[in-house]
Amino acid sequence: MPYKYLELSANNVPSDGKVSHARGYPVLSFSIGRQDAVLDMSSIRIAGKLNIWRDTAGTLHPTGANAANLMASPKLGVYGMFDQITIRHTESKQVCEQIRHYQRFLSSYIPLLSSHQDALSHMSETSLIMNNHLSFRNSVIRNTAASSFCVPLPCGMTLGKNRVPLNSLPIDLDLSLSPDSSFFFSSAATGSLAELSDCFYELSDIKLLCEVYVPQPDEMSRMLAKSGAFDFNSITSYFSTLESTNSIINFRLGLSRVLSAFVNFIPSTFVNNLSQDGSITYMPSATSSAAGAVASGGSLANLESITFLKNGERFPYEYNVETNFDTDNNTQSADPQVIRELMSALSPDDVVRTNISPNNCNRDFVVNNNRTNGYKLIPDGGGMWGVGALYDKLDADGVDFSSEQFSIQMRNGLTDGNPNSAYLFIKSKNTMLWKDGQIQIIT
Amino acid sequence: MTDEDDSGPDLMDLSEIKTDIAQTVQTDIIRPSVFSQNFCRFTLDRRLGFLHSDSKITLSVTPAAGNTSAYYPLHIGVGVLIDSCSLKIGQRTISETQSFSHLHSYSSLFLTNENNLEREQYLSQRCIAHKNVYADTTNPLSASTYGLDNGKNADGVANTLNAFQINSAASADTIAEAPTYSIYLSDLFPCLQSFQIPSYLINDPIFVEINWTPVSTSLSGAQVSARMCMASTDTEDTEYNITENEVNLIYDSVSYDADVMQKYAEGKGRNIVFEFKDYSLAKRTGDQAEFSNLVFPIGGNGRLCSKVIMGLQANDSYVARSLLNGYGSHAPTDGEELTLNLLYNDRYEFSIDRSNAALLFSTTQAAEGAVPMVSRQEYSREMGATITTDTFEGHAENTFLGGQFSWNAIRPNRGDRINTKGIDLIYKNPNLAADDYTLRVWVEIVKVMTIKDGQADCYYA
Repeated sequence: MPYKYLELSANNVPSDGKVSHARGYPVLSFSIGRQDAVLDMSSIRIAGKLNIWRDTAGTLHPTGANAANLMASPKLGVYGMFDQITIRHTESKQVCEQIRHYQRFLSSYIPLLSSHQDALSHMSETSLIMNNHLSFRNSVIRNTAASSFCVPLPCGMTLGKNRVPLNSLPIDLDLSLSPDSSFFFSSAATGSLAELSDCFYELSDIKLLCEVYVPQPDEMSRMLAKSGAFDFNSITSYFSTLESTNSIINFRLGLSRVLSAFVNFIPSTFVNNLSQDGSITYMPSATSSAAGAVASGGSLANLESITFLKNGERFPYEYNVETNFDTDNNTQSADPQVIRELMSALSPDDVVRTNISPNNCNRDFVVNNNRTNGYKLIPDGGGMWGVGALYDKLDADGVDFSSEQFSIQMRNGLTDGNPNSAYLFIKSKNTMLWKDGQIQIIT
Repeated sequence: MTDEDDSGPDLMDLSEIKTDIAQTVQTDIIRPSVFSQNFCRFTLDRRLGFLHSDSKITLSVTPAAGNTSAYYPLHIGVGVLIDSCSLKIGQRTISETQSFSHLHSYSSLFLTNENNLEREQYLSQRCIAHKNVYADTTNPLSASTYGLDNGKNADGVANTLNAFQINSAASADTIAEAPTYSIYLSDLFPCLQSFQIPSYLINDPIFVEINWTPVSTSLSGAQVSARMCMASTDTEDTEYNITENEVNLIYDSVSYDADVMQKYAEGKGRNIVFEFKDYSLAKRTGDQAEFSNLVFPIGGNGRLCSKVIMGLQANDSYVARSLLNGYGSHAPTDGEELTLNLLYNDRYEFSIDRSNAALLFSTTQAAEGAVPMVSRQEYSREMGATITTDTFEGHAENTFLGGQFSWNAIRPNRGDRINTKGIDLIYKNPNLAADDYTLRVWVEIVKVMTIKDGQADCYYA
């Protein structure tokens, strides 16, 4: 019996089986217990049903007449609900991998590594992602019944071909759910919150599914060793804020095998703000009008030059990336070199399936709520932009930032000092060692 | 594969051969040795080289008098003409597939939409790809639906196929210019998906036999074409005959330097053994109540089974004035759930029956190792109004695409040989609309082919 399917319910589900951040269940926790089997991490799926309600009782769905402005990110679908993922040892509770700002990471990762046709076909079934605001709103937000979903959880341990010996490494998987104000936003021309304050999302029939390999007697000692090690690529997230025309992101990463880095941006006032889309990954911008006011402001603070530094030296590129905006400030095009380096940071191989295109990556829009050229009108899933650098094309041992300073310098047009949040994600190689029920992560 | 001389490359392998030997490809056009409107046989004589798996059979129909808008079902294209096919060597049947056109509907799910748009609509007329449908092309927020994309800019709300894809009998010229498409041998015979047959090592002739899909069917009540789809202006019961002169096997024969071929024949080629997958069909027909809680024995007794594929066809969907004719798979009624499980060797495959639509979709993805490129509304009917009401060849897309791609597959993952009781499929599809349905289930079975001393043989693993 080499393989078998496991189907696990969440540990912390209330008696009615319904989970929502709004009702005090901000974390989904699953335990894959100790057993003589090897877990195929890539087989992990989270399945369930999503209901979206417009009243606190959870009985009424949004419609075209009620809570009509309720919206969520079409490029994330159910992934918009996941704020943080943590994989830890069940017994010692030592953390194997944790990605904070998971929703922000996926806001770049998913549209960049899946195509327009992916979003128009299979992703609408598995993760409720759709490539257009209205079709997403009509079929998911305003679904008159529950929307079923079943998604993998992209992270270092699940994306590799890692096999975890559960006899030594039983694992807990915790998913922190996003607050409703982060998952939803208002699509009104003023960002109005009328009728939206009671809206919430609710999950039911939640389960984790996976496959485990049950070694034959002659494979036991090899596959279920009491000690061992494996490598995996993981994501470490950092947060910074840009407030000036010469913005610097500066961190001591403490990581010895850095493969790539990328940053996505959002005006800080949009974070966890029900009137704004918290998954926007567009260019930094100037101050925009508040919710309820006539939309104004939000002009792009275009990046004119980008420089990645290591210990104060230009690295990995020995030059400043002078963007096309620096050469011609009338251009509506995004700089292709910046896009290329962002895509390389996410995947060192040539990306053949991507949803980023001139439709959703350009300078045609402003970051406010208006219905003429506001960022919520950006087609094909919404704005996709960011800054990145690839350190190791071969996905080998990367670059040592264990004691060196990591910096990005960005000359930009942020003349009004509007704070813009920069979410920095570092892809690095980690090694997990385990012995006698204890683990050690070498970063 | 049994190796008596390991020094040479494995010439049967379809993947890249790491060697610098020269390769020659010779292409012959083989005419059928037997042909009728029901059956066709190609006889492949022994010749130097390997029968390449990407050899093709070309097919065409003769536009029927009076009809000007016929086309093949959009998701399977010209594959609709093949009802069953078998590959024989001498008197031995190596591979045989029943209800091929329906199975082809399943396997076509895994072609990417981009591939259909840019390639398949020209090769086989498979053209399922999607695009946002904008009510106002100046407003990026106006696409509340999506629809089919074949590369044409729709004229208003009415999209059509490209002109060369239409089988029209409007004139002698259009009849003569009826499109000819092709299908790979490896699509017909799964055994050719990994290996090419060393035909020069086989003494017996190789036969490719095809039973054509009947010209018409009355499953939906009236007599309608079972081979074509057409616009509402055409006559549904018109029979479309296969054009004999266009039925050819384009035989690609791959050969290498004589000494390499000789060395292979005396080394690895002396005793070739390889495994491949074949499909065994089980069918159940009945009314809607039959499928509300069904335990269906699907065979596999004593075999090694690697996959179970299933789809439900409603008799009412065999309509020629449509986009897919009857070759889709009927999704559960909106608001209902399909529940699946397998029982074999006295144990259930899943400890809890699976009924979540997205989970069943993912189960199919895991079974095939590839993603079904269909949308939520095409697979499960959830919020079906998201498919456009615009027309394609005069037919509303939401009517004819919604819930017509609900194919499912399960991979038995315990690796056990199935015992003599076989596999039971647990299939619960409640509250189907009143109609007669047919549930087709293919069990993918591991077979072994041997070629020794010029004799080919085949048996179940």
